[in-house]
Amino acid sequence: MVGSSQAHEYQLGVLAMPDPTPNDGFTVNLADADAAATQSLPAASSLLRDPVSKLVSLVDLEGANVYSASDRATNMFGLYKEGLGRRQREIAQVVDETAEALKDIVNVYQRVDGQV
Amino acid sequence: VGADLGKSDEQVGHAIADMRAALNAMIEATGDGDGRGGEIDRLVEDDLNVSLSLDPKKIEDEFERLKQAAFQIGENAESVVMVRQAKDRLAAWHGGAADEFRMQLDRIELFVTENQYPAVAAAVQSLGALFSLAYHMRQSYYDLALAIRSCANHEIDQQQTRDAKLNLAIGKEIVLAIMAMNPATAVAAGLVAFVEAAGALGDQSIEGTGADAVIDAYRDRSIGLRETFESNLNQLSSRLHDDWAGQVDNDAKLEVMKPLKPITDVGSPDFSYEEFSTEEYPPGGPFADQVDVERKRYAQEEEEHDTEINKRLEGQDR
Repeated sequence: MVGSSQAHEYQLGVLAMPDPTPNDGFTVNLADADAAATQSLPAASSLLRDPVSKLVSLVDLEGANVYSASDRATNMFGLYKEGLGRRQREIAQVVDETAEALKDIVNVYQRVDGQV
Repeated sequence: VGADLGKSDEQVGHAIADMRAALNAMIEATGDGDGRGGEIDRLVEDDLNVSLSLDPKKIEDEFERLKQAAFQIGENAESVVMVRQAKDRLAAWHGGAADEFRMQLDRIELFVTENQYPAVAAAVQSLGALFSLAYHMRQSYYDLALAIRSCANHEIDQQQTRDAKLNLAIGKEIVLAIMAMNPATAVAAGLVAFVEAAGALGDQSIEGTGADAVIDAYRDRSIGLRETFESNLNQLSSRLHDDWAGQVDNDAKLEVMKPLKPITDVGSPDFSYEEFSTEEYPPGGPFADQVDVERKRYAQEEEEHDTEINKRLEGQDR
């Protein structure tokens, strides 16, 4: 149990803390940039990839019989949907590349932070 | 509970087969319309092919899958929330690279909400149109078969009821009506809304008496239905093709798909601390100098690391 004199010393200790250095604020901002690169953007990328399987799945809408106009429409729908899946994959890739570029900067700054 | 899928393969198939049998029996019984058996056979084959060319159950399954995808891509999708969060986390950073990252995150959000989401919503809408066509094809050919059968039976036996009044989708612009819907409404709608979007179907009446008149009436309605559905399906194909081509064209112009500016690349000579800095350490100070030294070392390490991976992939280290 902490005695009253120790508690007093502790409070004094807190009061006696020096002003934050520039380094403290920088570390907080760097941690935010790191979280953007390693948490927010990877989560976004993963969520963007979730619907890809639904978009690239094969389309079979044909009935028991064949009619050329229906065939063309369902084939065109398949192509259209495939395009959507490709774009969805591409935008997830763009998010990955953005996160990677940001993380590289954060890595360098983390090495330098505390050395200056 | 799934949507009302309309008439089944069996219901449509039996109705058309029964109509064909009744028409042939009419020709035999009346001696009228002789020599038109081949014509009837061709019309029946077309009716069966058109009416059963799309599977409403498969379309319903695909519709549900695509609606889920649309909800994962929309404005309030979690992916978009995460992109916004990343941008918020970069709020304290200044310089050209910081601005470029924030702009890229804005571009990603815009791409998802303004390009991809409407495109997925349009796909949902197209499936709604396809479902509506599948439903109405089945229903119209089924109703036509029942009416023609009753007329044929009436020609054989005047005591039999003649159900000559019916509603058919002939001339209906189903695809146009559905594509005029607000895509957001389409994504939220159930399949029944697409079936109803066709509106009231036209009144039809099988006029005239005698076997030839019944066969003529059948021929005209059968061709009318085929032309209507062909025109609707072609409209849908053209719409999908044009939208798809437009997207391919647009994607090539999108800034978001282009590489990030070199100032965001810590290994590029264009990068400097000034391009990505905070107020705590001003550009031009010792921290900036140290960053310049460290980023070159980092870039070299990354290059060596990549070379090592390539060597391993090529099996040169064995």
